[in-house]
Amino acid sequence: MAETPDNIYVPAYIKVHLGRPKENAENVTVSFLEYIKNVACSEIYPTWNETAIKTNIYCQVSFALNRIYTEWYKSRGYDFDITGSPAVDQAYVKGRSIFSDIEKVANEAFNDYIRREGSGEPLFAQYCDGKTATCDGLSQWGSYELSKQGYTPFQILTRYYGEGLQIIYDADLVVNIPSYPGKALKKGDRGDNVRYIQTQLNAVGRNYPSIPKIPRVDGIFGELTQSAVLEFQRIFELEKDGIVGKSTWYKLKFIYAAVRKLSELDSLGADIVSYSMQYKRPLEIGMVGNDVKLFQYLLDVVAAYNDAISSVKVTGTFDESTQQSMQAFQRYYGLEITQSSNLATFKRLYDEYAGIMTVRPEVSNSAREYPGYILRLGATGRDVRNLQEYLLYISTRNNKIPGLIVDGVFEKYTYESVKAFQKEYGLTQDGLVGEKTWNEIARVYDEYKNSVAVAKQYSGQKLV
Amino acid sequence: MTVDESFGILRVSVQSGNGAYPVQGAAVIVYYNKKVIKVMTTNRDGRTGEVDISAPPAALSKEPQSKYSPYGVCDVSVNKEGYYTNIYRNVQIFDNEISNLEVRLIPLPEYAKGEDTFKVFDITKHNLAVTGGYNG
Repeated sequence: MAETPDNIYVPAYIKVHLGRPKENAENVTVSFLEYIKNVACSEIYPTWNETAIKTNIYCQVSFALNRIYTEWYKSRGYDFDITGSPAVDQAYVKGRSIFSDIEKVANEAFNDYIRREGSGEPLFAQYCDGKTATCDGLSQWGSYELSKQGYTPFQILTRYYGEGLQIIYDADLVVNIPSYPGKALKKGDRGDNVRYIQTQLNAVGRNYPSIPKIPRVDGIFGELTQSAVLEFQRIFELEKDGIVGKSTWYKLKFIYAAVRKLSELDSLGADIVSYSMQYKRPLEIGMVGNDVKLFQYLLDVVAAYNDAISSVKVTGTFDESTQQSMQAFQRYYGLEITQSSNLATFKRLYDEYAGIMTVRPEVSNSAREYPGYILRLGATGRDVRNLQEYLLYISTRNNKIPGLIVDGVFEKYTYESVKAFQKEYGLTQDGLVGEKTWNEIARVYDEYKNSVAVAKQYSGQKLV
Repeated sequence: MTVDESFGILRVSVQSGNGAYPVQGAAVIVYYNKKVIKVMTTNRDGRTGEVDISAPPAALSKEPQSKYSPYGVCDVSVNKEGYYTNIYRNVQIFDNEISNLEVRLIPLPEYAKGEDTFKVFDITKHNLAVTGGYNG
């Protein structure tokens, strides 16, 4: 009996070359979901019925996954996954509008793909318009005709690609994008997945103020969580049903990733701004140092605002991916493309970074998110420093919380302050700062900062 | 606009930071046949209201014909202080369909030079409307 091949992972992001392979063109990195929406809108018409749209999207997804799975371009020395040229791959048009009717289908089908029974590889689903060109694969106009005659996507695909096909639904996405649990989350549900979306909604809500804050990240999907979901759906053009189905799950993931990225850069920036902002020397592969770190950080900030520039890990070692990102930057801004960095590149990079710093929304009033691990006696670092800042501020507004030194070291004053806070706000007094305690500290800090009187009844005291 | 004229709907949403935050107060200008037909400002979610744009009847996109364009087009410019101005040419609008233009603005560098503060997106003809479209 033949083994069922493993399902492949769908990449969260895909790098698209905006021209033919050898053409000198931009490479943009976009979420796979955005990529498929764009391709579908560029390849077929939104006036078509749902079956026709879906069938074509299955082909588009499979085609793209095949390029990635076979490392078609990477193995030939190119540093992108696929091109946006319909002469070679499928049409991707940067800046094009997205049609609602196609978007609806793409939101559900972007991680569904076709393969042949017994093979793990996504089908290399070639297609053509079928009117001016015929090919060994799906005819776009032909598929539309068949859909009007009542055939299902599977039947249409079989007609063009032969017997023995399988459609794999809901493939997992790579790495740190947890997959849709398979069943929609709705009011009344409880558990880690609910806690997870609550955290994300709150984080996104800091930048999108229409989304009401969910005061307790408790893993219980109640009225307040539902309100936040509805607002999110309204803002992002999703079906406003108040439940977290596949479309909402993934859209939330991708927006959260962007929000999170800026937040992480803020944290990182707090350290880096202490470095000298001067150009010291040309940087090339293999070099190590704080100036490399600074360079990588500046690139990463610019990349967070521009999909034509790939993000960089700020490691302090100038590696190939740093060079790639630098060259994408040089290309985008019309600078000479070089192997090592130079003054002109550094100056322009710094200029772009400074421009970004001028416009970024004032989110510094808000407390950062829970860092993901429990802070306790003996801990040190940036997260401890943030914690101390918040507690210190709170202590100036509430004399039940003792003051402390903000030095990034979790010692006895910090411990006492945490315990006093926990007592004041009805939390377990263990001096440990886990998610619950952190979120409550953040909430109180934010409210004080925004000058809203906090009237908490835990201690029976009105706080000013 | 007469009762029989077909049209589609354009909506614009403006964000920055690859979607991390909405841009409020961006000026969105919609041009049809080179004339300004609507000026809007984005709200705190970065969104505008809707604009009706003339488009040929849907029947033209349901048959493989190449005599008439199956969609209407408009131009859109998006401007907010501190950011590059994005200009979209030939945004496609289909009869009875909603077209969402998702604008991503990039902050201007500290020392921006006048001519260099625009980003133009020329939306190419829809692939199905291009004769000889072939893939693979």
